[in-house]
Amino acid sequence: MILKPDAMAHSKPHLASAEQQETLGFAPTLSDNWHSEAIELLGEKVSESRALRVAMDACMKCGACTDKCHYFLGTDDPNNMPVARQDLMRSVYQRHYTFTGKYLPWLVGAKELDEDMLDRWYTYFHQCSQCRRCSVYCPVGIDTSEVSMAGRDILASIGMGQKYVNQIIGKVNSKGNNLGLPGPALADTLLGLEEDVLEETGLPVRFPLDDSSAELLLVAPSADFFAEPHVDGLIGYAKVLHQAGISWTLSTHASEAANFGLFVGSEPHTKTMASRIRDAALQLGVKRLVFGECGHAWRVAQNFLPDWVDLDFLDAAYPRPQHIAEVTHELWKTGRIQFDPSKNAERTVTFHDSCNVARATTLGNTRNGHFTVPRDLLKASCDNFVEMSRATTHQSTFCCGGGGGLLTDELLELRIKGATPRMNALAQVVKEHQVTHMVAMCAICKSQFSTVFPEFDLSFDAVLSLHQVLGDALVMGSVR
Amino acid sequence: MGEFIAPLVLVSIVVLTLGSLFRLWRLIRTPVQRYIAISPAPATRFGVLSALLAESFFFPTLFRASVWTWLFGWVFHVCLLLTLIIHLRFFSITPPLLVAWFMPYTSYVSWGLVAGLTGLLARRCLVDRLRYISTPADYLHLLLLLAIAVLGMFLSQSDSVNVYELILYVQSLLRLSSAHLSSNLLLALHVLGACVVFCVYPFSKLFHGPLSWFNPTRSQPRRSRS
Repeated sequence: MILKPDAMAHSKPHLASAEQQETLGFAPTLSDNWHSEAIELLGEKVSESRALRVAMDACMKCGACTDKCHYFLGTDDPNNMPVARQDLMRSVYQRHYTFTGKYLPWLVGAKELDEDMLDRWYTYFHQCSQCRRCSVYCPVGIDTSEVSMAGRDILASIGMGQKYVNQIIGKVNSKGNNLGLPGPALADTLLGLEEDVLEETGLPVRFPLDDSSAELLLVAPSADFFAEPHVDGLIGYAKVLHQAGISWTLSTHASEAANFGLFVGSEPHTKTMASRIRDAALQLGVKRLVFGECGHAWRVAQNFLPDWVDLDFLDAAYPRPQHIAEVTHELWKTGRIQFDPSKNAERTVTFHDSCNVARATTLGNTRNGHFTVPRDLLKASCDNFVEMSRATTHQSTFCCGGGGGLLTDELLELRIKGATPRMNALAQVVKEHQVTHMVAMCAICKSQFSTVFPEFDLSFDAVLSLHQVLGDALVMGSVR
Repeated sequence: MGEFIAPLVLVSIVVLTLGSLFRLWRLIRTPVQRYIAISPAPATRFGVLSALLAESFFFPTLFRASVWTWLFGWVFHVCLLLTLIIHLRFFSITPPLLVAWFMPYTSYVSWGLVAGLTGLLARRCLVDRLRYISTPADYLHLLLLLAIAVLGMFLSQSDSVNVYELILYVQSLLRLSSAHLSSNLLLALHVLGACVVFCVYPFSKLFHGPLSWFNPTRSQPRRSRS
């Protein structure tokens, strides 16, 4: 591979407007003091986060991570090697906060945060999807996502926020979801889905909204309400819950599982957005909290939410937030629902492990549940299941190329290039095993793949929601 | 030469100790913000400890990432450990059992040390990706260690050092005094190099070992779901 330094230096997301910045409590634009503000924030962040301190101090430049990032593999730009991405921050940290960096900067490669470096921060911290594949291979476990999150938070705080992510956080705060979809529109969409499913199955499968008699609140990524193939996943959840006879509801107030606050590394925003979910659950008086197919939402729900808010009101049998795949898996295991794989006979499927589920969470209560639960379900509902190369699945899975707040049109070139490693692995099983569909359980993965598939000679609809495959094979009606 | 070396050795040991303690203290004082373990994580504290021990002794993560880096890195670290153990012979006339057991293999160990370091240096110079991320310090760390190792190899294979005299000298250092030590340029350089490493260790990337034990991605056990 021939390195192409700065090959992606032109790829950066649109800056947030001054108004969007102020709405979120960030500086509207760069002030005259931006440099000292940034340096001070950097010092604070490092002293407040052990993960970040280790990232700044422990890298021995061994190179283990250099060929592990999908953006590097897809672009050949060495600035996309995880260590080089960390170095953007590390070199500045050393310049201002270490002895050698202050007095012998040439020796350790310490650099000043000048305008050129600031531009590189904005460019390359927005070429990290925070998927953490590199940290799996780092001998000391340095987490590059912590670096890019901190970098973006500093950028946003001094006046260089990213338009796409800021906009979305604003919409969640005002409307309750990433799309800015108001309650009545949501109710209307759900009504339409009820009609569709009635027509297809002849059964009155409901999509309840703000139903305070429900015992279970389902929080889905808002893409599930309208985007393809997401909506077929939502239909799958509804079929499963209907068939199991569980009373459930969606919420207008918390009509979004995704939490873009995480992508900016802004803890206050992440917390505010996550708190909406607890508020909705309390308001509706539900006893169970279940999340739909969304990777980083599950990370927030499983790892952060229980630390941030009090969830004591949940049923003692289900004291923690659950993932819809866990719920379905348990129902299937206990025989409360059944699958008829012949319904999926036309399909040969493979499974894309989504980065946040694969490397940040678990499913069920077993060590490898996040790998086995979706696979168990897929195999039970489809006879033709094929794995992609082991180097690209499970803990080593490749990011779809659109995660971490990069799922925006102006970054399309990066997204296509970043998808290449996954697409190569998929192309292999398509060729060798005639795989027809790749299944994912993350809203960003699904949106990203349906956009980039045509660039790789695949149809946009070759990506499916996990619960679409499950819903299609679900044995409906009175079978118990 | 003993009087000249003694203060350098003692000061660098103080720097090494206090510097390392400071780095660890500052790290432990830094809060763990969130639960960010890389999953699947071990279920218990004991599991985490075992994984960290395995990581420290066998580098399985590096093995998965790059077999060549693992080979050179592991050989270097193992030989460094053995070298340090063998150096304990200079603390007493009759070496402790463990030390005596390793002493016959001194020349293999020093060759391993040199080979590992040379391999790491060669990778850094020859692999484009590594050259791109390397700073002068990255090369100098390796060159410094390599110089010390080569000097040590010469010393151990020549008769120029009076071991009995050296042991008495080391024991005098432990009493914070300085016995006589015959002049020997190679030995002086070898010890001087080691003093530089002692001083650099707590304040550089060489400290990655202790830091790795406290990284939240690896030190947090899997959380129970119930």
